[in-house]
Order: sequence, then structure tokens, then C-alpha cells
Amino acid sequence: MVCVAWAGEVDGRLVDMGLVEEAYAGALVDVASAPVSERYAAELYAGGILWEAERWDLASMHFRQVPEARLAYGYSLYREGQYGAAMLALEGLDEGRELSGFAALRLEDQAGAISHFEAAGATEVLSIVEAWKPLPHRRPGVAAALSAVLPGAGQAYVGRWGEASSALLVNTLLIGSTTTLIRREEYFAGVSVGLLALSFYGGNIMSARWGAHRHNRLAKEERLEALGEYEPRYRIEDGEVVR
Amino acid sequence: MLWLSAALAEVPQCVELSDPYPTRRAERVGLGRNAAYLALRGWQLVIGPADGAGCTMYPSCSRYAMFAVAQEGVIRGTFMAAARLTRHHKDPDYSRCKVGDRTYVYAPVEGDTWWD
Repeated sequence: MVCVAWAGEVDGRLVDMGLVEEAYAGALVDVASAPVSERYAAELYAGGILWEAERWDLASMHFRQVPEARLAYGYSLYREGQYGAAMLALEGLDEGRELSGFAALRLEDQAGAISHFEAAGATEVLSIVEAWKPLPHRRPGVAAALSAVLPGAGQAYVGRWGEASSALLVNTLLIGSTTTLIRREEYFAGVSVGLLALSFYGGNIMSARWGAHRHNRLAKEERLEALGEYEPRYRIEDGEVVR
Repeated sequence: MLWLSAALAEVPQCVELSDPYPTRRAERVGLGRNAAYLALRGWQLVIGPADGAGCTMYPSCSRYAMFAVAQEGVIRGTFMAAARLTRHHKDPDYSRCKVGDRTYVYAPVEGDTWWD
């Protein structure tokens, strides 16, 4: 125990000096050499170093095998962006209810989030989330179909008017040029411009689909940004996960 | 308000991107990809310098096309490059980055999740 504590102190100094990789290497040695009774502390310490470096993916691996570190595991998964897995890890854990609520929000499950916030007694967040109206969702398939019928229409549907006008203009010019050249029996030029027109037509459909995804993601992020101050932030201090 | 906070935030330097064309000979597969690469390289060497550094995006559209063709193949890559050309750089929701003093719209291939 003394040995592990001393090694931990050395690692802590390395972190203070910005030598996170060196500190993590030391912490890994501590994990490998720690007896079962001290494994929780050693894993928590190693994971804590990775939290400092925001390596949530590696940190979650340390907490996964330790039943006592469920909150740390769930938080690592949450910060990693694996919200569904974070909710599973935190299931039934009272301290993790609020975080589960935020994970549910990120998965656009407003009702689930409300039930978690109610259970956690997070009244301020609850009142904000309950007042939310449904997100102005844009369907990627509809955007793509609209752009397939009229180039630029899908971009207009997702509110990207600059791209909509560019797509309409470029596609009209290219498709018009192709048909004119073919009618004049200038087949080589017609096929060449036609291939270019096809590229822009396909690109216009993709752009509309991608624009819908981007619109939905931004709408969600903008809404969640307003809740940023309520989002739980944890750190590891003296072998404990503290908020 | 997301656009406002993005506009006020300090613009970081652009991430240096690797060569879009595989350096190992064994990885250079596909006649179409190689032909597209040569055409784009020709554009960069001959037309690009004559045309001037006018692209407002990072990586430039020709370099983006090289990445798109290398990663997604000729057909998807061509569609992606065409979509990039009609993209409106003034849309405020794109992130920005700097090369030297000049600010660019940061739009790499990785940011375009076409197949979700």
C-alpha cells in the first residue's frame, strides 16, 4: 500500500508537470502490481490521469471491470459520446441519475430524460426540459428526394439558401447545356458536359442529405448548449469521484 | 446563438493534413482512382497556380477531391467534390481555421457524414 501510494504521488507530480503519458505509464504499473483489495484505487487513479488528458475511451476501459467505479465508467462513456452505453452503465445508480438524464437528452429521448431528472430531484433542469417544444427535425430522405426532383430544393428545405441557389444555378446550366448540345448532335461535347452535369446532380442530392443531418445536429447542440451549466462534471480527487 | 459564439471564438490554426495519395505502391489500387488523382494533380500544378489562391476552404477543393476519391472511390468522391464546389462558404455553422494570417472554412472529408 505504501508503495502504491508513493508511486501515485510520483505520477501526480508528473501530471502537474504536463507529463501525462509518463504518469499514465507509471499508473499502469501500479494497476498491474496492486493487490485485489487496492485495485479499485489503482484503476481509479489510472483512469483519473486519462480524464486529465480527456482520453475518455481509454479511461472507460479502466473502470469497466471494477463494480465500484460505475459512476466513473458511465461518465467516461458519456464524455466519449456513447450515450446509450453510459445509460446502461448508470442504470439503478442514484448518483448517476442526472447524468443518465443528460445522456437521454443527447439521444433525443425527452420523456426518458424527464423521468431521470425527476428521480434525481434536478428541478431546474427539469423545468427547462419540460418546457421544450419538439425539435425542428428535417428528414434526410425527404431532403435528398426534393433535391432529386428539383436541384437545390432539399437544401432550401433544410434552410441552406446559399447552397440551394448554387445547386439550382449550376444544375440548370449544366443540364440545359447537355440537352442543347445533344439536340445539335454534338455528341462528344454533350456527353462530356453530361458527365459533369451528372456529378453535380449527384453531389446536389448528397449535399441535401448531409445538410439535413447537419441541421438536426446543430439544432440539438444549440438546445443542449443552453443546459451546459447544469451538466454534471466529475473529477477524481483523493481516490473518490467528486462533482 | 451557436453561430455567434463560434464567430467570437479564437480561430485555431488548421490541422496539417497528410498526403491524400497512398505512399505505398501496393495501396495505389484502381485505374479510376489513379486517373482521378493524376487529373487533380495536373489541375493543382498547372491551373491552380495560374488561377491564384482563391479557395476559401481548407483543404482546397482539389485536395478535398483527392481525399474523397482516395477514401470513397471515384463515383462517390466525384459527387462529394461536386457538392463541395456548390457549398456556400458564408454559412455560419462551419468551423474556421487559419493558415498563417488567412482564415479558411474548415471542411475536411471526415466532417461529411454522407452515409449516416
